[in-house]
Amino acid sequence: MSIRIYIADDHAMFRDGIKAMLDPEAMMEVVGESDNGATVVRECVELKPDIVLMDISMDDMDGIETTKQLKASGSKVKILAVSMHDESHYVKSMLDSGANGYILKSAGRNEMISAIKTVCDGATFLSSDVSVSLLKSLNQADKKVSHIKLTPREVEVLKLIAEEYSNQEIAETLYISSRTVDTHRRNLLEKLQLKNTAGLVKFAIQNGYVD
Amino acid sequence: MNMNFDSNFLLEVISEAPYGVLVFDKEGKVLLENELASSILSDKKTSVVGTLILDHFDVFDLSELLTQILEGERERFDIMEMVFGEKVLTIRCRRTKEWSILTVQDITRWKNIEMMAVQSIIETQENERRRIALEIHDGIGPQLSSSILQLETISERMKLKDPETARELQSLSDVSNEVADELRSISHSLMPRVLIDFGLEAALRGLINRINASNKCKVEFISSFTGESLDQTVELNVYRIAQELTNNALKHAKASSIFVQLLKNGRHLTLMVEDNGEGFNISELKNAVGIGLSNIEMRTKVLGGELNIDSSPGRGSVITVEVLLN
Repeated sequence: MSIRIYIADDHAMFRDGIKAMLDPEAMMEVVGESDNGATVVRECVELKPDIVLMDISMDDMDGIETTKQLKASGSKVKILAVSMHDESHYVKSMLDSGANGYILKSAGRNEMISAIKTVCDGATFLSSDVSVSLLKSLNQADKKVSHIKLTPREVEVLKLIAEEYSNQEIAETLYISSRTVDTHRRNLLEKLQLKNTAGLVKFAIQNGYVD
Repeated sequence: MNMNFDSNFLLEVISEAPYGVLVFDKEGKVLLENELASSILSDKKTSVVGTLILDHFDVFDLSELLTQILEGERERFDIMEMVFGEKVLTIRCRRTKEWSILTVQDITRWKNIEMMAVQSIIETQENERRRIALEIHDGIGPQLSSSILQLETISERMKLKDPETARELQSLSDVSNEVADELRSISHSLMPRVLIDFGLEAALRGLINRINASNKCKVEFISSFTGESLDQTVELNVYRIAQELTNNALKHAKASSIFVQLLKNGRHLTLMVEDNGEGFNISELKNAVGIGLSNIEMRTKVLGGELNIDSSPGRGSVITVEVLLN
């Protein structure tokens, strides 16, 4: 049985391009298309396609919201995001909303066809460019949890604070203005969630920044 | 010559001068003034004759220059623009054998007009960028994408009949794909959609990922920002400042490591960019036009924020922008 495809994209030209591309595929059939989210939800419930190729940036209701509503409607349709955006935030939002795959509009014909097949088989498909940016953002998220990081300059300032240097002395030692020292000090307090200089000194000693 | 006549004559002349005039002796004691000078120096227009000139200009750079004049190390100086309390002044000084003459001009009004002009330039520029970015993103971009899809479709169809043409079409589609990539990156730097859709933190992460992906420099991003949405003007300007600062660190300072921090503490938003690049002499920079710093200065002013630049040759630089949020 052939794969029944629905295209959601607000550019008629892009929809036509996809249709032309899928035309020679004997096992794929485009059953519907629309340029706005509300129609996509309604027609997918009626037409019961196997997969929706979902654009993100659509007027009125974007692809993220449309995906959420489709999932909420109880529809079992698979959703493959087809977008211009390669930033991890878009990928994450689409996957969180229930999309089964994400490819870029610049993906070639072969990638698009294999993405459609993979997603319809029940697996997840991500463009290689997209998975790299997603992995990177996951990495960053881990770091954020593990604890907020100090910059080399902040570590220098922290050490000198712990050694009871005054702002002016720190400024002279590090060749920076005392105003910058002050900013570093404030940032340290904020990042480490401490109240005052005594807290900074304690932190520096406990964490081995001073001997 | 009669001394009395002399000073009256002088007073009359300088009272007509279109800027404030102060004359002081070698000890720095003020001998002569005109009304404009005392009104610029104090709101009460109190006379400053007999007082020490240094007491009235207790501002770091200026007091140093004046000291150099008094000690005979310097003949003259011209400060075209100096923030002095609420005012912006132009201050010039010339030393003769016995006396020195200092002129003060209040250019606050002109600076305000300039500020408004800059604000509207920035706004116009941003609107134009947004328009072009949208046109690429919603017009040319998708059109090109669909042309590429059609090229690939035809190439696929020709594979058996005419493999040579199919190959040529495929390479045409490869080139078009590169063009599409280039377009996407142009549209992104003109107006990152992610900034509008997901806010400042996400956009900064994107910016930094792009730099890191180029493998020219290691950029680390530290943020205590929980991603709540801020005023659009704040987000856009802070993003542009970060864009400019990281660009400077890469291109001008040739840094190999950059730290970008976005910290929010109550209503205070701090953007701090530190790099380990070549650094520069701040006093020289003030005269140098360019390096985009004046742009950063203007954007900071538009936000009513404070800009602090700290650098010295060989020690990298630390640049901080602090904005009070509404």
